[in-house]
Amino acid sequence: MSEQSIPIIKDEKTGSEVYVSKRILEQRYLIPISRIKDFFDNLKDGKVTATKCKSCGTIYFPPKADCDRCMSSSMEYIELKGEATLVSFTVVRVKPSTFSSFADYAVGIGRMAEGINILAWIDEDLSRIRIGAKMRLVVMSRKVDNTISYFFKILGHE
Amino acid sequence: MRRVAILGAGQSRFGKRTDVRLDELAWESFREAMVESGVTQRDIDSFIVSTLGGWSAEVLPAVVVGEYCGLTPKPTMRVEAACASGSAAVYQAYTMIASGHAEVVSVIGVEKMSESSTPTTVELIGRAGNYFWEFENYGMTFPAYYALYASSYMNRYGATEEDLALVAVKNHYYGSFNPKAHFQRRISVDDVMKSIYVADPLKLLDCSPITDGSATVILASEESVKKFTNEPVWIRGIGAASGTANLSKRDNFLGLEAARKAADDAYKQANIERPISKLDLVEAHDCFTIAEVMAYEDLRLVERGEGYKLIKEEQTYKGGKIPVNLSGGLKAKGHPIGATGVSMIGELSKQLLGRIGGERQADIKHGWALAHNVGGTGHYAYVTILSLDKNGDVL
Ligand SMILES: [Zn+2]
Repeated sequence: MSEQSIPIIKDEKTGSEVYVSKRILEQRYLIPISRIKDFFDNLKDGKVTATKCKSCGTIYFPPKADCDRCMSSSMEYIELKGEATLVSFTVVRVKPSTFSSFADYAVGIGRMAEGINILAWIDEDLSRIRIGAKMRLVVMSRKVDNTISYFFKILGHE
Repeated sequence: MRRVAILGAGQSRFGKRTDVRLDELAWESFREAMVESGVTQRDIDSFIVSTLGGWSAEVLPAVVVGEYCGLTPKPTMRVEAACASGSAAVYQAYTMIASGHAEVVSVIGVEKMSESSTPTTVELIGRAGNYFWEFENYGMTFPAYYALYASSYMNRYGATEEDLALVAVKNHYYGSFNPKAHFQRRISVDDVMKSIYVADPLKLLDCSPITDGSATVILASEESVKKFTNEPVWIRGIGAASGTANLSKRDNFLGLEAARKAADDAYKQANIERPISKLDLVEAHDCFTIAEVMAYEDLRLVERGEGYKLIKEEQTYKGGKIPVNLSGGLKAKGHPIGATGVSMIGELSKQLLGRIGGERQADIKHGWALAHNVGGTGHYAYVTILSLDKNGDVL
C-alpha cells in the first residue's frame, strides 16, 4: 500500500488492482438460551438431555422448547442413555478460520438408543473410526478451547 | 395460470474475478441476456437478484445491481435459498408472470466470493446449515456435510473414491470446451486421487471451487413472448422442497430427500413418467462429486444405489443415456452461489435452441431439459423443467 493514501494493491494471484477496505468488522453473536437453559445446566452436571413433550411424548434433540407436532410448550428433560451407533462420519482437514487452531477432527452422526440422531465430534484415533461402530456420548471439556460439550467415544465395532 | 417462457440468457465469465465489482459483474450477464432477447429496460416490469452474500461488501445487492443496470425504479428484491438462490429467483419470477402480476421479469444471479479470504469464505459456507448446533462447537464445513453423505453412500453401496472421481473427470472434460468456465483444463482420476483430503473421503478435486460470476435470464408471459422472439423456451415445471437445517434430523445419508421431492413435483407438472427417455440433457448440482451421483438417483434417472454405475459406464457423457453437466457443472464451470441456478437454466435454454455448438452441444431429440439445483446440503432443492414445446397442461 506504500505511502499513498488510496489503499490499492495488486491481487497476488490475478494481478488485478483491488481497493483494500479499511472497515474491519468483528462479529460475535449473542445467542439466547433462556428457553432451553435446563439443557445447559444439565450439561454442566455431565448429562446430555433431550426435551420430551409432556402432551404427545415427542423427543427433541437438539432440545427445543416448543412441540411442533401438537403445538404444546410443556416440556420435560430426559437424560439420554448415551448408547449410539455411528451412522456416518468425516474428518475435517480443511477447517473454518475460527477452527484453524485445532488438529484435524472427526465429526460423526450417531443414532442414539432413543431413536434420535446426534451430530458431534468423535474423540478417537482418526484411523480407527468405522461406520457401524458402537459409541458412547459423553460430556467433556475440550482441551483447545475449554468448551464443555458432548462428544462421542468409540466402544468397539460390530 | 399463464404460460411462461425464457426470452434470453446471459452469463459472465466465471472465475476469480478480481477485475470487476459485484455490479460490474452482474452487468456482463445482464447485457448478454438483453441483447439476446431484444428486451430493453423499459420492457422489464420487475427484476429479482439472487445472491447469498456475506463475503462481499454490498449488503443490498439488488439495488446496487439495479442502479448499475438502469433498472431503477422497477420493483426488486433479493432472493436467498443458499446455492439454489438462482432457481428460487426464477421460481419467484415465474409465479409473478404466471399469476398475471408481471409480463417481463429479469432474474439476475450474482456472487462475488473473492472479496473475502478463502478461510473466511470456507467459514461462512460452513455456517450454512444450523449454526448453533452443528457449527458453533463442531466446526462443520460445506465439504464435511457432503462427506457425511459420501461416507454413508460408499459404505452402503460399495462405491469407491475412484468412482466419485469419474464425475470430476467428466465435468472437467466439458469445462475444457467452455470458454466461460472457471477451470478449462482436463484432469484424470489420478489427479483427483492425489489431491489433498478436504473432508474424508472428499478431496480437493471432488469439490467445486470458490467462484465469482453472474448469470441472467429474462422471462415473459405467453402474451408478451411474441413481441420479442420466435424461439422461446418454455418453463414446463418447477418443483421445490426444503430439508431440515440440522443434518442430524435426516433419516439417512444416501440421497437428498428435498431433491427427490422437488423432482417428483416437477415431473408431475410436466407429465414426465420416464425422465431418462424424455430429457435430452440435465444440468445437475455437482457442488461435490457425490452430489452428482446422488442427483442421478434423486432425479430417478436410475434406481437407488445405481448412480455410481451410471458414471462408471460413461452414460452421462454426450452420446450416453443421459448427458449431465455439458457446461462443466459446478465442478469445472464454477459455483458462484447465487448465479449457479440462473446459469443452469440459461445454459439449458441455449442448449435446447442449439446455440451452444461444438463438443458441448447436446443432441436435441425430444426438446426437453432439466436443471437440478440444491441449496446448502439438501436444505433447499429446486428442479426446473424446460421444453421447446409450450403445449400441455399449465401448472
Ligand atoms: Zn407434543
